[in-house]
Amino acid sequence: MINFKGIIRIKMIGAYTERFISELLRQKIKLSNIANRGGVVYADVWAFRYKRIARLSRKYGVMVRIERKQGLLFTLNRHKRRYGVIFGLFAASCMLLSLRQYIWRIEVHGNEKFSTDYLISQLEACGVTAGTLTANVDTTEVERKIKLGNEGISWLNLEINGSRADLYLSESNIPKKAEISLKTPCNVVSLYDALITETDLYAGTLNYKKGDQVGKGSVLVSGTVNDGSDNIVYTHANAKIIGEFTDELDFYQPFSSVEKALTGGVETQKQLMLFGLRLPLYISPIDTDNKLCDEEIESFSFMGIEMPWKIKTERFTGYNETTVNRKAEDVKRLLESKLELYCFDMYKEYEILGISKGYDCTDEGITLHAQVKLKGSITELQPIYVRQN
Amino acid sequence: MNVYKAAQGFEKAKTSLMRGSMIYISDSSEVLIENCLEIEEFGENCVKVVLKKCVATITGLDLTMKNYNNSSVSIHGKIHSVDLIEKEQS
Repeated sequence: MINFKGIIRIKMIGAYTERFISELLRQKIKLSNIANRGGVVYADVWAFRYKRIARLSRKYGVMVRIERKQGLLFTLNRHKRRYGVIFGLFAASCMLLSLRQYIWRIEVHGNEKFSTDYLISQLEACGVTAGTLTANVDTTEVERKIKLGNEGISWLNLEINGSRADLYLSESNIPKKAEISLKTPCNVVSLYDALITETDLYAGTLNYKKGDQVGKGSVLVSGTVNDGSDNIVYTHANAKIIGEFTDELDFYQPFSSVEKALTGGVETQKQLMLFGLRLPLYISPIDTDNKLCDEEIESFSFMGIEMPWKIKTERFTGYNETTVNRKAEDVKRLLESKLELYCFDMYKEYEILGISKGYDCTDEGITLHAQVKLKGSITELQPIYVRQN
Repeated sequence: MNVYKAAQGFEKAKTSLMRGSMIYISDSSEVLIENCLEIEEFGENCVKVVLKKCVATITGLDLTMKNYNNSSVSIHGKIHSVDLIEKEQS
Protein backbone atom coordinates (compact mmCIF):
# COMPACT_ATOMS: atom_id res chain seq x y z
CA MET A 1 0.00 0.00 0.00
CA ILE A 2 1.26 3.51 -0.85
CA ASN A 3 2.10 5.56 2.21
CA PHE A 4 0.84 9.04 1.30
CA LYS A 5 1.20 10.79 4.66
CA GLY A 6 4.86 9.91 5.20
CA ILE A 7 6.48 8.18 8.15
CA ILE A 8 9.64 9.32 9.90
CA ARG A 9 11.96 7.32 12.13
CA ILE A 10 13.03 9.40 15.07
CA LYS A 11 15.76 8.80 17.58
CA MET A 12 15.36 9.94 21.19
CA ILE A 13 18.32 10.51 23.42
CA GLY A 14 17.93 11.56 27.06
CA ALA A 15 17.61 10.44 30.64
CA TYR A 16 13.84 10.31 30.75
CA THR A 17 12.88 8.73 27.45
CA GLU A 18 10.41 6.35 29.14
CA ARG A 19 8.55 9.25 30.68
CA PHE A 20 8.56 10.99 27.36
CA ILE A 21 7.10 7.89 25.64
CA SER A 22 4.42 7.67 28.37
CA GLU A 23 3.54 11.28 27.74
CA LEU A 24 3.27 10.66 23.99
CA LEU A 25 1.00 7.74 24.84
CA ARG A 26 -1.18 10.03 26.91
CA GLN A 27 -1.19 12.62 24.13
CA LYS A 28 -2.55 9.89 21.78
CA ILE A 29 0.49 10.10 19.52
CA LYS A 30 0.97 6.72 17.93
CA LEU A 31 4.48 5.29 17.97
CA SER A 32 5.46 2.05 16.36
CA ASN A 33 8.59 -0.08 16.19
CA ILE A 34 9.91 1.46 19.40
CA ALA A 35 13.31 -0.07 20.04
CA ASN A 36 16.13 0.66 22.45
CA ARG A 37 19.51 0.20 20.83
CA GLY A 38 22.40 1.01 23.09
CA GLY A 39 20.55 3.56 25.20
CA VAL A 40 19.07 5.34 22.19
CA VAL A 41 15.36 4.88 21.61
CA TYR A 42 14.10 4.70 18.04
CA ALA A 43 10.46 4.93 16.96
CA ASP A 44 8.34 5.41 13.81
CA VAL A 45 5.78 8.25 13.82
CA TRP A 46 3.58 10.00 11.27
CA ALA A 47 5.48 12.91 9.74
CA PHE A 48 2.79 15.44 10.62
CA ARG A 49 3.17 14.58 14.35
CA TYR A 50 6.87 15.54 14.41
CA LYS A 51 6.40 19.21 15.39
CA ARG A 52 4.29 18.28 18.39
CA ILE A 53 6.79 15.62 19.44
CA ALA A 54 9.68 18.07 19.13
CA ARG A 55 7.81 20.62 21.29
CA LEU A 56 7.11 18.03 23.99
CA SER A 57 10.67 16.72 23.92
CA ARG A 58 12.04 20.08 25.16
CA LYS A 59 9.82 19.81 28.20
CA TYR A 60 11.22 16.37 29.08
CA GLY A 61 14.81 17.12 28.21
CA VAL A 62 14.91 14.54 25.42
CA MET A 63 16.77 15.21 22.19
CA VAL A 64 14.74 14.13 19.18
CA ARG A 65 16.35 13.77 15.76
CA ILE A 66 15.05 12.49 12.46
CA GLU A 67 16.80 9.30 11.46
CA ARG A 68 14.98 8.39 8.24
CA LYS A 69 12.08 9.64 6.13
CA GLN A 70 9.86 7.45 4.02
CA GLY A 71 6.62 7.80 2.07
CA LEU A 72 5.26 9.31 -1.11
CA LEU A 73 5.30 12.82 0.35
CA PHE A 74 9.08 12.77 0.81
CA THR A 75 9.70 10.98 -2.48
CA LEU A 76 7.74 13.64 -4.36
CA ASN A 77 9.51 16.38 -2.44
CA ARG A 78 12.85 14.91 -3.42
CA HIS A 79 11.90 14.96 -7.10
CA LYS A 80 10.04 18.27 -7.09
CA ARG A 81 12.50 19.92 -9.49
CA ARG A 82 12.26 17.13 -12.03
CA TYR A 83 9.55 18.74 -14.10
CA GLY A 84 9.69 16.11 -16.81
CA VAL A 85 8.92 13.30 -14.36
CA ILE A 86 6.10 15.30 -12.78
CA PHE A 87 4.65 16.15 -16.18
CA GLY A 88 5.01 12.52 -17.28
CA LEU A 89 3.22 11.28 -14.16
CA PHE A 90 0.47 13.85 -14.63
CA ALA A 91 0.07 12.96 -18.31
CA ALA A 92 0.04 9.23 -17.52
CA SER A 93 -2.61 9.74 -14.82
CA CYS A 94 -4.75 11.80 -17.20
CA MET A 95 -4.37 9.19 -19.92
CA LEU A 96 -5.23 6.38 -17.52
CA LEU A 97 -8.29 8.22 -16.29
CA SER A 98 -9.51 9.02 -19.79
CA LEU A 99 -8.83 5.50 -21.11
CA ARG A 100 -10.78 4.02 -18.20
CA GLN A 101 -13.89 5.56 -19.71
CA TYR A 102 -13.75 3.11 -22.64
CA ILE A 103 -14.16 -0.63 -23.03
CA TRP A 104 -10.91 -2.27 -24.06
CA ARG A 105 -11.55 -5.89 -23.41
CA ILE A 106 -14.57 -8.12 -23.85
CA GLU A 107 -14.78 -11.47 -22.09
CA VAL A 108 -17.47 -14.08 -22.54
CA HIS A 109 -18.24 -16.59 -19.79
CA GLY A 110 -20.46 -19.65 -19.69
CA ASN A 111 -20.81 -20.33 -23.43
CA GLU A 112 -20.60 -23.84 -24.84
CA LYS A 113 -22.80 -24.00 -27.91
CA PHE A 114 -22.30 -20.39 -28.99
CA SER A 115 -18.74 -19.51 -29.90
CA THR A 116 -17.01 -16.58 -28.24
CA ASP A 117 -16.40 -14.92 -31.63
CA TYR A 118 -20.09 -15.15 -32.47
CA LEU A 119 -21.13 -13.57 -29.17
CA ILE A 120 -18.54 -10.80 -29.57
CA SER A 121 -19.93 -10.13 -33.05
CA GLN A 122 -23.43 -9.97 -31.53
CA LEU A 123 -22.16 -7.39 -29.03
CA GLU A 124 -20.55 -5.46 -31.87
CA ALA A 125 -23.88 -5.41 -33.68
CA CYS A 126 -25.38 -3.85 -30.55
CA GLY A 127 -22.62 -1.22 -30.47
CA VAL A 128 -20.45 -2.79 -27.75
CA THR A 129 -16.94 -3.14 -29.08
CA ALA A 130 -13.39 -2.38 -27.99
CA GLY A 131 -13.19 1.39 -27.83
CA THR A 132 -16.83 2.07 -26.99
CA LEU A 133 -17.50 4.71 -24.34
CA THR A 134 -18.83 2.86 -21.28
CA ALA A 135 -21.35 5.61 -20.52
CA ASN A 136 -22.99 5.03 -23.92
CA VAL A 137 -23.66 1.34 -23.28
CA ASP A 138 -27.17 0.50 -22.15
CA THR A 139 -26.50 -2.98 -20.77
CA THR A 140 -30.18 -3.87 -20.32
CA GLU A 141 -30.97 -2.98 -23.91
CA VAL A 142 -27.99 -4.95 -25.23
CA GLU A 143 -28.94 -7.98 -23.12
CA ARG A 144 -32.51 -7.82 -24.44
CA LYS A 145 -31.39 -7.52 -28.07
CA ILE A 146 -28.99 -10.45 -27.90
CA LYS A 147 -31.49 -12.63 -26.03
CA LEU A 148 -34.23 -11.90 -28.57
CA GLY A 149 -31.93 -12.73 -31.46
CA ASN A 150 -30.70 -16.00 -30.01
CA GLU A 151 -33.24 -18.52 -28.81
CA GLY A 152 -30.61 -20.80 -27.37
CA ILE A 153 -29.68 -18.31 -24.65
CA SER A 154 -31.78 -18.63 -21.51
CA TRP A 155 -30.07 -15.98 -19.36
CA LEU A 156 -27.69 -13.17 -20.16
CA ASN A 157 -25.90 -10.54 -18.11
CA LEU A 158 -23.59 -7.84 -19.40
CA GLU A 159 -21.38 -6.26 -16.75
CA ILE A 160 -19.00 -3.40 -17.29
CA ASN A 161 -16.13 -3.56 -14.85
CA GLY A 162 -13.82 -0.61 -15.41
CA SER A 163 -12.58 -0.97 -18.96
CA ARG A 164 -13.61 -4.61 -19.27
CA ALA A 165 -17.00 -5.87 -20.43
CA ASP A 166 -18.00 -9.28 -19.08
CA LEU A 167 -20.77 -11.18 -20.79
CA TYR A 168 -22.16 -13.95 -18.61
CA LEU A 169 -24.70 -16.29 -20.14
CA SER A 170 -26.29 -19.65 -19.73
CA GLU A 171 -27.56 -21.58 -22.67
CA SER A 172 -30.94 -23.26 -22.88
CA ASN A 173 -30.60 -26.74 -21.56
CA ILE A 174 -32.58 -28.94 -23.90
CA PRO A 175 -31.79 -32.38 -22.56
CA LYS A 176 -30.73 -35.04 -25.02
CA LYS A 177 -32.72 -38.19 -25.19
CA ALA A 178 -31.43 -40.11 -22.22
CA GLU A 179 -29.62 -43.29 -22.97
CA ILE A 180 -31.30 -46.27 -21.41
CA SER A 181 -28.99 -48.03 -19.00
CA LEU A 182 -28.40 -51.77 -19.24
CA LYS A 183 -30.25 -52.27 -15.95
CA THR A 184 -33.46 -50.67 -17.24
CA PRO A 185 -35.95 -53.12 -18.78
CA CYS A 186 -36.92 -52.08 -22.29
CA ASN A 187 -38.42 -53.17 -25.62
CA VAL A 188 -36.97 -52.70 -29.08
CA VAL A 189 -39.47 -50.91 -31.32
CA SER A 190 -39.50 -50.08 -35.01
CA LEU A 191 -38.88 -46.52 -36.16
CA TYR A 192 -40.38 -47.01 -39.66
CA ASP A 193 -42.84 -49.07 -41.66
CA ALA A 194 -40.25 -51.53 -42.95
CA LEU A 195 -39.41 -54.96 -44.29
CA ILE A 196 -37.03 -56.83 -42.02
CA THR A 197 -33.99 -58.13 -43.90
CA GLU A 198 -31.65 -59.06 -41.10
CA THR A 199 -32.03 -59.89 -37.38
CA ASP A 200 -29.41 -60.41 -34.74
CA LEU A 201 -30.88 -60.92 -31.25
CA TYR A 202 -28.79 -60.12 -28.16
CA ALA A 203 -31.46 -60.18 -25.39
CA GLY A 204 -35.25 -60.48 -25.12
CA THR A 205 -37.91 -62.25 -27.18
CA LEU A 206 -37.90 -61.68 -30.94
CA ASN A 207 -41.45 -61.09 -32.21
CA TYR A 208 -40.71 -60.88 -35.95
CA LYS A 209 -38.44 -62.78 -38.26
CA LYS A 210 -36.56 -62.00 -41.45
CA GLY A 211 -38.95 -61.17 -44.29
CA ASP A 212 -41.75 -59.86 -42.04
CA GLN A 213 -43.35 -56.50 -42.66
CA VAL A 214 -43.55 -54.28 -39.57
CA GLY A 215 -45.33 -51.03 -38.83
CA LYS A 216 -43.91 -47.95 -37.19
CA GLY A 217 -43.90 -48.45 -33.39
CA SER A 218 -44.19 -52.26 -33.51
CA VAL A 219 -42.40 -54.08 -30.72
CA LEU A 220 -39.70 -55.97 -32.56
CA VAL A 221 -38.04 -57.46 -29.50
CA SER A 222 -39.93 -57.74 -26.23
CA GLY A 223 -38.24 -57.17 -22.89
CA THR A 224 -40.79 -59.35 -21.04
CA VAL A 225 -39.52 -62.92 -20.84
CA ASN A 226 -41.19 -65.98 -19.37
CA ASP A 227 -38.68 -67.80 -17.16
CA GLY A 228 -40.40 -71.21 -17.66
CA SER A 229 -42.14 -71.21 -14.24
CA ASP A 230 -44.95 -68.86 -15.34
CA ASN A 231 -43.06 -65.88 -13.96
CA ILE A 232 -42.54 -62.81 -16.10
CA VAL A 233 -39.06 -61.35 -15.99
CA TYR A 234 -38.33 -57.89 -17.36
CA THR A 235 -35.04 -57.63 -19.23
CA HIS A 236 -33.13 -55.04 -21.21
CA ALA A 237 -33.95 -56.20 -24.75
CA ASN A 238 -31.37 -55.56 -27.43
CA ALA A 239 -31.02 -56.55 -31.05
CA LYS A 240 -29.59 -55.43 -34.36
CA ILE A 241 -32.45 -55.35 -36.86
CA ILE A 242 -31.90 -54.15 -40.38
CA GLY A 243 -34.84 -53.29 -42.56
CA GLU A 244 -35.78 -51.73 -45.85
CA PHE A 245 -38.11 -48.77 -45.81
CA THR A 246 -39.20 -45.86 -47.98
CA ASP A 247 -39.04 -42.15 -47.29
CA GLU A 248 -41.14 -39.70 -49.31
CA LEU A 249 -39.93 -36.24 -50.23
CA ASP A 250 -41.36 -33.26 -52.15
CA PHE A 251 -39.48 -30.36 -53.72
CA TYR A 252 -41.00 -27.42 -55.61
CA GLN A 253 -39.40 -25.02 -58.07
CA PRO A 254 -41.30 -22.31 -60.02
CA PHE A 255 -40.56 -21.67 -63.73
CA SER A 256 -40.14 -17.98 -63.11
CA SER A 257 -38.21 -16.54 -60.11
CA VAL A 258 -36.54 -13.26 -59.20
CA GLU A 259 -32.81 -13.72 -58.64
CA LYS A 260 -29.84 -11.48 -57.96
CA ALA A 261 -27.22 -11.35 -60.69
CA LEU A 262 -23.89 -9.77 -59.76
CA THR A 263 -22.74 -7.06 -62.15
CA GLY A 264 -19.09 -7.55 -61.21
CA GLY A 265 -18.21 -3.96 -60.22
CA VAL A 266 -16.71 -3.73 -56.71
CA GLU A 267 -16.43 -0.47 -54.75
CA THR A 268 -14.50 -0.17 -51.49
CA GLN A 269 -14.69 2.28 -48.61
CA LYS A 270 -12.72 2.30 -45.35
CA GLN A 271 -13.45 3.54 -41.85
CA LEU A 272 -11.15 4.13 -38.89
CA MET A 273 -12.65 2.71 -35.68
CA LEU A 274 -11.27 4.54 -32.65
CA PHE A 275 -12.72 4.89 -29.13
CA GLY A 276 -16.13 3.78 -30.35
CA LEU A 277 -16.08 6.37 -33.10
CA ARG A 278 -16.17 5.50 -36.79
CA LEU A 279 -14.20 8.01 -38.78
CA PRO A 280 -14.70 7.74 -42.56
CA LEU A 281 -11.56 7.49 -44.68
CA TYR A 282 -13.43 8.54 -47.80
CA ILE A 283 -14.88 11.74 -49.17
CA SER A 284 -18.27 10.71 -50.47
CA PRO A 285 -20.13 7.64 -49.28
CA ILE A 286 -21.06 4.88 -51.69
CA ASP A 287 -24.69 4.50 -52.66
CA THR A 288 -25.61 1.15 -51.11
CA ASP A 289 -28.80 0.50 -53.10
CA ASN A 290 -28.74 -2.80 -55.00
CA LYS A 291 -25.32 -3.70 -53.64
CA LEU A 292 -24.16 -6.65 -51.58
CA CYS A 293 -21.83 -5.68 -48.75
CA ASP A 294 -18.86 -7.65 -47.49
CA GLU A 295 -17.13 -6.34 -44.34
CA GLU A 296 -13.62 -6.93 -43.06
CA ILE A 297 -12.13 -5.53 -39.84
CA GLU A 298 -8.36 -5.28 -39.57
CA SER A 299 -6.87 -5.12 -36.05
CA PHE A 300 -3.42 -3.89 -35.13
CA SER A 301 -1.26 -5.17 -32.32
CA PHE A 302 2.03 -4.09 -30.83
CA MET A 303 4.12 -6.55 -28.79
CA GLY A 304 1.10 -8.83 -28.46
CA ILE A 305 -1.17 -6.07 -27.16
CA GLU A 306 -4.15 -5.19 -29.30
CA MET A 307 -4.26 -1.52 -30.23
CA PRO A 308 -7.47 0.47 -29.76
CA TRP A 309 -7.83 1.37 -33.43
CA LYS A 310 -9.13 -0.81 -36.24
CA ILE A 311 -9.69 -0.35 -39.95
CA LYS A 312 -13.03 -1.48 -41.30
CA THR A 313 -13.16 -2.20 -45.03
CA GLU A 314 -16.53 -2.46 -46.73
CA ARG A 315 -16.72 -3.94 -50.23
CA PHE A 316 -19.88 -3.31 -52.20
CA THR A 317 -20.68 -5.51 -55.17
CA GLY A 318 -23.49 -4.35 -57.39
CA TYR A 319 -26.29 -6.66 -58.47
CA ASN A 320 -29.36 -6.57 -60.64
CA GLU A 321 -32.59 -8.24 -59.73
CA THR A 322 -33.68 -10.12 -62.78
CA THR A 323 -36.56 -12.43 -63.41
CA VAL A 324 -35.22 -15.77 -64.55
CA ASN A 325 -37.51 -17.90 -66.69
CA ARG A 326 -36.43 -21.52 -66.86
CA LYS A 327 -37.42 -24.28 -69.18
CA ALA A 328 -39.00 -27.43 -67.73
CA GLU A 329 -35.74 -29.37 -68.26
CA ASP A 330 -33.72 -26.80 -66.33
CA VAL A 331 -36.24 -26.80 -63.48
CA LYS A 332 -36.10 -30.60 -63.32
CA ARG A 333 -32.29 -30.48 -63.23
CA LEU A 334 -32.44 -27.95 -60.39
CA LEU A 335 -34.89 -30.10 -58.44
CA GLU A 336 -32.71 -33.17 -58.91
CA SER A 337 -29.67 -31.37 -57.59
CA LYS A 338 -31.75 -30.29 -54.54
CA LEU A 339 -32.77 -33.91 -53.96
CA GLU A 340 -29.20 -35.12 -54.34
CA LEU A 341 -27.98 -32.59 -51.79
CA TYR A 342 -30.75 -33.56 -49.37
CA CYS A 343 -29.94 -37.26 -49.64
CA PHE A 344 -26.25 -36.58 -49.10
CA ASP A 345 -26.98 -34.60 -45.94
CA MET A 346 -29.80 -36.62 -44.39
CA TYR A 347 -29.15 -40.27 -45.24
CA LYS A 348 -25.55 -40.65 -44.17
CA GLU A 349 -26.36 -43.58 -41.86
CA TYR A 350 -28.36 -45.52 -44.42
CA GLU A 351 -27.71 -47.32 -47.67
CA ILE A 352 -29.76 -45.86 -50.53
CA LEU A 353 -31.21 -48.75 -52.50
CA GLY A 354 -33.04 -46.69 -55.05
CA ILE A 355 -34.89 -43.46 -55.77
CA SER A 356 -38.10 -43.32 -57.74
CA LYS A 357 -39.05 -39.88 -58.98
CA GLY A 358 -42.25 -38.40 -60.31
CA TYR A 359 -42.87 -34.89 -61.57
CA ASP A 360 -46.06 -32.93 -61.14
CA CYS A 361 -46.13 -30.03 -63.59
CA THR A 362 -48.40 -27.02 -63.24
CA ASP A 363 -48.50 -23.68 -65.08
CA GLU A 364 -46.34 -22.05 -62.40
CA GLY A 365 -43.77 -24.70 -61.58
CA ILE A 366 -42.82 -28.32 -61.09
CA THR A 367 -43.05 -30.45 -57.94
CA LEU A 368 -40.71 -33.38 -57.60
CA HIS A 369 -42.13 -36.31 -55.63
CA ALA A 370 -39.36 -38.68 -54.66
CA GLN A 371 -39.51 -42.04 -52.93
CA VAL A 372 -36.15 -42.99 -51.50
CA LYS A 373 -35.72 -46.66 -50.66
CA LEU A 374 -33.32 -47.06 -47.78
CA LYS A 375 -31.68 -49.87 -45.87
CA GLY A 376 -30.43 -49.59 -42.32
CA SER A 377 -31.14 -49.99 -38.63
CA ILE A 378 -34.80 -49.48 -37.81
CA THR A 379 -34.63 -49.98 -34.05
CA GLU A 380 -35.18 -47.76 -31.05
CA LEU A 381 -35.14 -48.72 -27.37
CA GLN A 382 -38.29 -47.98 -25.39
CA PRO A 383 -38.22 -48.44 -21.59
CA ILE A 384 -40.80 -50.62 -19.87
CA TYR A 385 -42.41 -48.88 -16.87
CA VAL A 386 -43.50 -51.47 -14.36
CA ARG A 387 -46.16 -50.51 -11.81
CA GLN A 388 -45.34 -52.02 -8.46
CA ASN A 389 -48.30 -52.98 -6.27
CA MET B 1 -21.01 8.63 11.61
CA ASN B 2 -17.28 8.99 12.13
CA VAL B 3 -15.99 5.48 12.74
CA TYR B 4 -12.77 6.65 14.37
CA LYS B 5 -14.60 8.83 16.86
CA ALA B 6 -16.95 5.97 17.65
CA ALA B 7 -13.98 3.64 18.16
CA GLN B 8 -12.28 6.16 20.44
CA GLY B 9 -15.48 6.57 22.45
CA PHE B 10 -15.75 2.81 22.78
CA GLU B 11 -12.14 2.57 23.95
CA LYS B 12 -12.70 5.32 26.53
CA ALA B 13 -15.81 3.64 27.84
CA LYS B 14 -14.01 0.30 27.97
CA THR B 15 -11.03 1.80 29.86
CA SER B 16 -13.25 3.55 32.39
CA LEU B 17 -15.28 0.42 33.00
CA MET B 18 -12.27 -1.84 33.29
CA ARG B 19 -11.21 -2.31 36.87
CA GLY B 20 -7.81 -3.62 36.02
CA SER B 21 -5.55 -4.09 33.03
CA MET B 22 -5.50 -6.96 30.57
CA ILE B 23 -2.44 -8.81 29.38
CA TYR B 24 -2.52 -11.13 26.37
CA ILE B 25 0.49 -13.27 25.62
CA SER B 26 0.75 -14.93 22.25
CA ASP B 27 3.54 -17.52 22.17
CA SER B 28 6.87 -16.05 23.14
CA SER B 29 6.80 -13.31 20.53
CA GLU B 30 4.16 -10.81 21.59
CA VAL B 31 2.67 -9.36 24.75
CA LEU B 32 -0.33 -7.08 24.42
CA ILE B 33 -1.22 -4.88 27.36
CA GLU B 34 -4.50 -2.99 27.60
CA ASN B 35 -5.01 -0.13 30.02
CA CYS B 36 -1.38 0.73 30.47
CA LEU B 37 -0.81 3.86 32.58
CA GLU B 38 2.88 4.55 32.07
CA ILE B 39 6.10 3.17 30.72
CA GLU B 40 8.56 3.10 33.54
CA GLU B 41 11.50 1.54 31.81
CA PHE B 42 12.24 0.72 28.23
CA GLY B 43 15.36 -1.12 27.25
CA GLU B 44 16.59 -3.65 24.73
CA ASN B 45 16.00 -6.56 27.09
CA CYS B 46 13.53 -5.24 29.63
CA VAL B 47 10.32 -3.25 29.51
CA LYS B 48 8.56 -2.15 32.66
CA VAL B 49 5.02 -0.81 32.37
CA VAL B 50 2.74 0.55 35.09
CA LEU B 51 -0.71 -0.94 35.04
CA LYS B 52 -3.77 -0.10 37.14
CA LYS B 53 -2.96 -2.38 40.04
CA CYS B 54 0.49 -3.70 39.33
CA VAL B 55 3.75 -3.19 37.51
CA ALA B 56 4.54 -5.62 34.70
CA THR B 57 8.14 -6.38 33.77
CA ILE B 58 8.68 -8.04 30.44
CA THR B 59 12.12 -9.46 29.85
CA GLY B 60 13.44 -10.84 26.61
CA LEU B 61 15.69 -10.18 23.64
CA ASP B 62 15.44 -7.39 21.03
CA LEU B 63 12.25 -5.97 22.47
CA THR B 64 10.32 -3.43 20.42
CA MET B 65 7.12 -1.68 21.32
CA LYS B 66 4.10 -0.25 19.57
CA ASN B 67 1.17 1.69 20.92
CA TYR B 68 -1.85 1.09 18.77
CA ASN B 69 -4.48 3.03 20.61
CA ASN B 70 -4.93 5.34 23.59
CA SER B 71 -3.74 3.13 26.41
CA SER B 72 -2.61 -0.11 24.87
CA VAL B 73 0.86 -1.22 23.98
CA SER B 74 2.16 -4.33 22.28
CA ILE B 75 5.65 -5.59 22.94
CA HIS B 76 7.38 -7.75 20.36
CA GLY B 77 10.59 -9.69 20.48
CA LYS B 78 11.81 -12.95 21.98
CA ILE B 79 10.03 -12.85 25.32
CA HIS B 80 11.45 -14.80 28.22
CA SER B 81 9.24 -13.79 31.13
CA VAL B 82 6.43 -11.55 32.31
CA ASP B 83 6.66 -10.61 35.99
CA LEU B 84 3.83 -8.93 37.84
CA ILE B 85 4.55 -7.02 41.02
CA GLU B 86 1.76 -5.40 42.99
CA LYS B 87 1.92 -1.67 43.34
CA GLU B 88 2.83 -0.27 46.73
CA GLN B 89 -0.28 1.11 48.42
CA SER B 90 0.30 4.80 49.07
